[in-house]
Amino acid sequence: MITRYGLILWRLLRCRVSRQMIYRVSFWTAFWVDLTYFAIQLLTFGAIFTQVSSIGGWTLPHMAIFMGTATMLDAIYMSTYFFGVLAIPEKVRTGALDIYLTKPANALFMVSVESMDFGSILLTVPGLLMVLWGLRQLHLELTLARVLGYLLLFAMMFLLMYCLMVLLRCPAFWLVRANAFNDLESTLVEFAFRVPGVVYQGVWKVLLYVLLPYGLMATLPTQFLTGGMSPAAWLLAAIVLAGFWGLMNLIWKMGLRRYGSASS
Amino acid sequence: MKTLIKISRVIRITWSSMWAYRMDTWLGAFLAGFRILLAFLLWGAVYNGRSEVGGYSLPMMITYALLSALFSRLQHQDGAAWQLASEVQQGVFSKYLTHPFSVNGYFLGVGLGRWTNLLLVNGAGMAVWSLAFSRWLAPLAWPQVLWLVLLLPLGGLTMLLFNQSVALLSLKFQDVTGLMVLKGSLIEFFSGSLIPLQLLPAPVVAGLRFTPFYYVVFYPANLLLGKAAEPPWLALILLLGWCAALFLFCEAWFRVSRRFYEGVGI
Repeated sequence: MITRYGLILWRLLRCRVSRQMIYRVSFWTAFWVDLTYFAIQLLTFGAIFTQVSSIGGWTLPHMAIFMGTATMLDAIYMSTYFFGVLAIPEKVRTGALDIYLTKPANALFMVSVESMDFGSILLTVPGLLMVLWGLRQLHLELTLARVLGYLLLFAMMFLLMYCLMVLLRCPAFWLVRANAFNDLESTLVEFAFRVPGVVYQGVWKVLLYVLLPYGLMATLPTQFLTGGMSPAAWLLAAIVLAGFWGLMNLIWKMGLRRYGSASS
Repeated sequence: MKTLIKISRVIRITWSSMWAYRMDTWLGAFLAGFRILLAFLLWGAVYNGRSEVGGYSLPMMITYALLSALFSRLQHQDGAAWQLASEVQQGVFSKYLTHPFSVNGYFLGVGLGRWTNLLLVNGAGMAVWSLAFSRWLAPLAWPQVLWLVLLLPLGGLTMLLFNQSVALLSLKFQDVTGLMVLKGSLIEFFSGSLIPLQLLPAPVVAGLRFTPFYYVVFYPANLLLGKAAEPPWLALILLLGWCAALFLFCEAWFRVSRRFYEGVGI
């Protein structure tokens, strides 16, 4: 099955790259938009750090790793499933989801990856440079174990973001219009990539680490790289990811049962 | 007079269409409060025992976050501009050319309809959130509210005209999606929706004072906090000037660029 889906992904990838290269200006649009977002992040934290020396115990190099990780995560999910998942409510509303249900592959997978847009992928470079700068400032060595652990956590957060995105699109099966959830998500993502999880305490930690786990996204990989991550945090990340993956599949299937389609 | 009646009808129709999705509208107003909640967490960590950051005490910063969340939701709404840009791109803009009403007037009416609707719904939502956060809020300079009655609608109109100016570029360049998104991010930052502009370097703030963005979120919020550096009448004059300039640009650009438009039925 993995080979089959890998093959589908590879073919879709080739089609999308060929298509995007026809509209070169549009290809760069996503890059410039993301670069501006990145610059605004830098300006925001630059302005805050002119007034204070640390946030929640994290100094500027910690924040550089945090923002670099957030930027890379943002670039990769924007390049892969972002636009596909974003279009789900519209496809449900107009009945365009029918075509995906008739294909001999998982409908959610197909709808998620069919609109890949690689304009943002170049943003991983400044993101990576920020992470490396932060590590250098903290005098931390880049060992193989550190790199592998970071990559594993990064992949887990990438999947967790996918589950959350899909879950926030599923109300479209029950509501005619659910733009409010888009606004909620953009606020949460904005803050997940701007506010380090280390500042959350008590009930807020439960809310933003477990119930709406946006607080984990760039925080855990940063904590791992800087040596502040406990084994319990690994367990938390695994449980939250497994829980949200199961919930996403369950809600998606319930939604499909509710889906009216264009011809019914 | 006739134009005003037509605009008021467009506003009424926009209200009706917005109320068609009541659940979504109210949910949006309520969930906007999450922004305040998260700002509360961030600033709580930034202050961490400090009495002041950039001249703001913690209660002032929380109040600023609450006010800027409401003002930015009102002033940054650009649904009408997105509608215009996408209809030009799809080639279905032609229908507006046959209407017995100016295109700029129509989209201004749609924008004003959205603005007034959002004012009512989000104002109510924010009132609820203010009650929830009341013990952490700073006292407001209430006499300044009268100035807001003039400044907020004028700021809203200026931003509508600014967004419309960008959207009208689609008549010549067709796809302005990137520009629209870029504009949104930059305005959000330079209007003080993310952090108070006071935290930016002084030369940047001095430059921003000549733009309309300074007066749509940051200035009204500071006015209510009793921290505005400029007198309100100056803000009013600047916004009026920008409004007139942007209106003239929209009219002139539409006249010039409508001949570039290649749509369905043309």
